Order: sequence, then structure tokens, then C-alpha cells
Amino acid sequence: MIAGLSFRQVSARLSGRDVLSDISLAAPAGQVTALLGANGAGKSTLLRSAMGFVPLRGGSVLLDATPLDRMPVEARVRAGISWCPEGRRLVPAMTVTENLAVACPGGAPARCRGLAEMFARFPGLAAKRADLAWQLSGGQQQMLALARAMISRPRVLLLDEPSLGLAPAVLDELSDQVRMIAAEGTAVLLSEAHPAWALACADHAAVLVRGQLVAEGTPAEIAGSKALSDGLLG
Amino acid sequence: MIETALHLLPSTLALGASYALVALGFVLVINAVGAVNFAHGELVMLGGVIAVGIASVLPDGLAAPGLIVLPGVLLASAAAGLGLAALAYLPLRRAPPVNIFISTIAVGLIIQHGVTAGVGPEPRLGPPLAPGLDQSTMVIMVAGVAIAAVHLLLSRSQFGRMLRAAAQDPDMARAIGVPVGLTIAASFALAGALAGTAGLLLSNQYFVTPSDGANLMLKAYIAVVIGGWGRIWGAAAGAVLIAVFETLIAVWLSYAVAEAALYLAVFAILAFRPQGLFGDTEGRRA
Repeated sequence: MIAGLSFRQVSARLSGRDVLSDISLAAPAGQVTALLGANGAGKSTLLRSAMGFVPLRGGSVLLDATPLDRMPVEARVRAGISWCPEGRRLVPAMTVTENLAVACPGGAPARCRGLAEMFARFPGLAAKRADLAWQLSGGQQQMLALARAMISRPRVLLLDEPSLGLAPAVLDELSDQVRMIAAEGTAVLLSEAHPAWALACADHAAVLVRGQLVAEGTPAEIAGSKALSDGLLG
Repeated sequence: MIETALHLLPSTLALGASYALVALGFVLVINAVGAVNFAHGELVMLGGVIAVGIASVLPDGLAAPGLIVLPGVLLASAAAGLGLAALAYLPLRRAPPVNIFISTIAVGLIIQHGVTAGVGPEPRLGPPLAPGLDQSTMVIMVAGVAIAAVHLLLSRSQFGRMLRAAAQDPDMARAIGVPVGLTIAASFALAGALAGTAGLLLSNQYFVTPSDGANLMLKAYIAVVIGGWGRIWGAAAGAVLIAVFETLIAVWLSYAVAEAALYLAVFAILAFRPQGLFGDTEGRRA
């Protein structure tokens, strides 16, 4: 057993198509595991399956040694899995503070602590705390989505396409944040269609092609591999 | 003319405040489940009937019979809202919204005919809130307190934030730990309580008739169209506007013309300003 999130021979079908085939992959605690592949390769589906949004046809998703398969989404959140989805999915008409507060478990004192912690960690958000989410720039919205995912102090962070549409300076900040989250012991599973940034950020990487895991290794091994160049072409 | 209008101002605002409660509950359910609750008007009527029923067992000569029945009406109407959710929404929650339109129409008819069968089809007079004081002023005050309470709940409490997050994106809300089933049930209960309160407030000046529901539901629907689909405070403001519009046209011409003009105005809004009269179009999308 490893501490963190593991997929064991996970398979899933959606509308008659195999979207995940026999995937075994570990996202160990304290590390960033990058999941690379073209759009439609099944990266988001794999992340969503860990969250409980995709019914499995076979296999199992485990947090440490505990199978999550019978747990509804809410129970997985309580168990320590957190999801920062593609497109961020903030509540646009709520303020930065409200978007964070609603995701913070526990009573009012816990919420105060959680908010203070996130504002210390994301100073850019602290300055915008009273702004509505839709008024933020793309980079600020991504930071807010990341902070919202972290306010419950998760053990596993599922991070889906966070770099999409962000400027290089924001990407640097995002890498620092993701590295820091992993350094604190959280297992980060990072799905990305654009490999250069993700590989620079990751400890370990895997390539997904049409729902199958075709390569796994260190970022250096994956960076130059044929699997990656083939995989990105779909 | 202007004198008449000024004279009618308190009762117009009282009507508007009652409509605002109806519209608030209506839009809360739209936001919570993404479907229109066509039984909402019947919940209002039921609130009026419950008020009449509780008041009938109270001793005569009380200082504030309407206020005394209010807690009972609130509880019973919230329960009616939950019952509606259990019957018309829960079994169909994975079905397309059109199924919920139809199931709520069905439950609305059951409520309407159940009340007719139980107490008869004739109009009944509800209790005045406090007979010594002006009824319109009292209606505006009670509705104002209810609206302020909803506002505080939605904007200041964690539960309100959960309700709004679940209305925006139920899957995402679940993924941040919001108990979405509970927020939906609470929305129905709150909608029922607001509808029932409106029923009590309307029952003294306008009587309660079992067939009132459809007309009230339409007013709520129009208020939501005027205010911008899904916008809570837009719907409340739209409701007040409807009451003012109705009263002014009715004073100037006739009630029938007022009703016709209201529907024409709604067509015009849908054609030229489908986002509603209030506020912007952005902000709904990040």
C-alpha cells in the first residue's frame, strides 16, 4: 500500500464507448503526478471517477488502503479528496470570500481560520476578497478555484487543466502553489493537455491515449518519449 | 385620478409585497431544481385555507388573530412544500425538467380539488393581521420582515451560500461538500413557507378561493420574467411592479384591461428584453 490515491485496473464506459480501460496508476502523497494526453484521452474522466462522478465498470479507486467505490461524492469529499475542475466552475455571482467560505467544512470559527489561511497563502485573492468571482481575471479565478479546493485541507487534490488560458507569469505562480501543496504532503494528480508546464511541475508522469495508460515514468523519461508525442496527437 | 392612485398606494404596496413573497418562493425552487413549480399558486391558496382554518378555532375578539395564526401557517406550509417535493420532484429528479412541470401541475390540481372537496368552492375570509391597525400597513410590515429574513439567510449564512452554490452548479456543489439533497428540500420548505405566508396576507383583503392558484402562479411566473429568469431580487421587484401596474390600469380603465395589458407587457419584455428589466446580462457567466 502507498499513502495517497491509487487506481487499480479502473475501467469505465460512457454512452457505449470505453473511456477508461484497465488503468492502474498511483498518485502518492507528497508528490505531483502529471496525467498527460490529448483532449478526449480520458484524463478528466479519470479524475472525475476518483470524485465519484463516473460509475466504474471494473476496478477500484483507493484512498490509502480504503476503496472509495461505494462512497457517494459527499463522503469522498469528507474522506479528503478535492477536485479543482476544468473551467474552474466558481459561483460567478458570489464574492471571493463567499466562494471560499461555502467550501469550508465546520462551523464559523473553522471558516474564519480557513479563510485566513487561504488569504495568507494566496495574497492576490486577499486583495480581491470582496470582488465577485466573475470580475476576476482568468489567473485570479484559477487561484480562487485552487484555494477553494484547498480550504478543506484535502489529502488528495485532483487538478484538471489548471493552465488553460493562463499567462506565463501566472503559470509560474501556479507551479509554486502546486509544488507547495505537494510539499505539505498532499497527493496531487494534475491533468494537462499541455505537457511542458506540467512536466516541469511534476515528480512523476503518465500518458493516456484513448482511455489507456501507455507510458509512465519520471518527467525526464516522459518528456522525450515517443508515447508522449504520439499521445498528444491523439 | 392622481388622488385615487395615492389613496390606493398602501393597498397596492400590500398586494405587491404579497406577490413578492409568492415570487420569491417560486424563484427559489426554479433555482434549486432547474424546473418550474406549477403548484406554487396552490401552495399560496393552501396557506390561506390553513389560515382560515386555524383562525376559525381561535376565540373571538383577539387583538391580532392573523399574527397568531402566522407560526402555524408557516410550519404547515413548509411541510406542504416538503410534501410537494416528495411527491412531484423526488421520484423524477433524474428525469428532464419537463416531467417536473407536469408532476407539479398534477399535484397542484390534487391540492386544488382536495381543498374544494374538503371545505367547498366558495371564497372565504381570512383573519385580519391585527384588527385595530391598518391591514395594508400590517401586510407590508409582515412581508417586509419575511423578505428581510430571506435576504439575510441567503446572503449572510453558510446555509444561504450553500443554497446559492447548489443552485448554480449542483455537481460542483457536491464536490465541495454541499449536501445538495438537503438544500433542495430546504428550498421547497422555504418556498412553501413564503407561499403560505403570502396566502395568509392575501386572505383578508382578497378572500381565499380554491381556484386562486393558477392566477397566482402566473403572477409569480410573470414576476420572474420581468425580473430576469432565476434572479431572486429581480423577481421580488417584478412582483411589486405587477401590483402597481395592475392597480394603476384598473383604476384608469378596468381590471379586465389591466390583466390583458399585463400579459401584453410580458410579451413585450420577452421579445425586447428577455434578460428581464433589471440589471445586466453579464455576471450570470464568469
